[in-house]
Amino acid sequence: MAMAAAAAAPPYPPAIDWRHFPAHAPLPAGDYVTPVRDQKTCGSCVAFGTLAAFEAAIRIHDKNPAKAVDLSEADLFYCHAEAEHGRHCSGPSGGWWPDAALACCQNPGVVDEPCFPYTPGDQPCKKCTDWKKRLTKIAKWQKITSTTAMKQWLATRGPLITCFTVYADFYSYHSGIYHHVSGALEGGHCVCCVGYDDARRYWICKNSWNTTWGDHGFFNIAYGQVGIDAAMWALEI
Amino acid sequence: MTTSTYQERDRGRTVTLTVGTRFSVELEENPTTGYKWSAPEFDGRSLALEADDYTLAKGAAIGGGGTRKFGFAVKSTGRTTIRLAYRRPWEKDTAPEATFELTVIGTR
Repeated sequence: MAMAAAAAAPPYPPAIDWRHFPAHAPLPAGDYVTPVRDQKTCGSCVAFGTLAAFEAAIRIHDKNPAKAVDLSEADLFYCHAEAEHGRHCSGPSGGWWPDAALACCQNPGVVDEPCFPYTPGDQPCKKCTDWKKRLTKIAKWQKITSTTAMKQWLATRGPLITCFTVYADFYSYHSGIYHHVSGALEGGHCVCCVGYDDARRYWICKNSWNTTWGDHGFFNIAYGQVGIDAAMWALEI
Repeated sequence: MTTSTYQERDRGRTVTLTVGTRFSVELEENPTTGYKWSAPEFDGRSLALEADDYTLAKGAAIGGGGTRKFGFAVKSTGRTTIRLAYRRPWEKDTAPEATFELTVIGTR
């Protein structure tokens, strides 16, 4: 009688969480995810989700989970989304797109937060005078549409950018694994994916609604829910 | 029966409307920031809330917002103030980012 073939192990570990990364050469153990930010009343989530992934990538690149890194969402949103692409905090030209944000991170790059501190609300681009010397750039980026590739990237390279549809029941999330059950459609939202758990089948994401929301600003969301893994964006330093 | 629309520019106004009039309050909202207009407070003997709808703006991208529309009908004579607060539902103890008030005087 033929032996049943053993199921092939997936090409990635069963779980990853960049907030609690174990020592794994050449990376020391630690929290590679920078603190949760707050976009406040402006629809600038694409800038926040993108720079959350960018900041984590810098810590990973430098093999230093304690590295102080804080990039300027104001630069990315007000100097690029608004000034160059005609997008705004709200209204018929509200919001932005991850592809466009990543192209700006590649060229010309993004300044540090003190050079142009974030405040919510449409405003002119007002960077510090030496901003050209304070730019940090990514080398390249790509859109990933395979969940296997997403997990492989998360396991070996770092956090990803992702977008999904917000429904009204998302506001009341505070722990566990989010599944959309009820509530009206509210719109599209962008966050940073910092890990996954294959056994319980969820992604771990960092939101930009302050630490007062969710699980200290983070949430777990079930695979396949509300478009969370329809596509994700990866960047390289 | 007339239909009027009140917007941000009407904040703080007092309007006189005949009983039976239907009107709406339409305000910009961006719920994917976590902020929403709260359920309106008013005297239910004077007004009836008939609709609470959100419409995403055409052209909105990821993170873009839209318009919240509250539809009312004047039920009886008298004066009441509609009060709205723009806040995050889970930040109940913090001051709202914005407020909107419209005082309605119902007449025959």
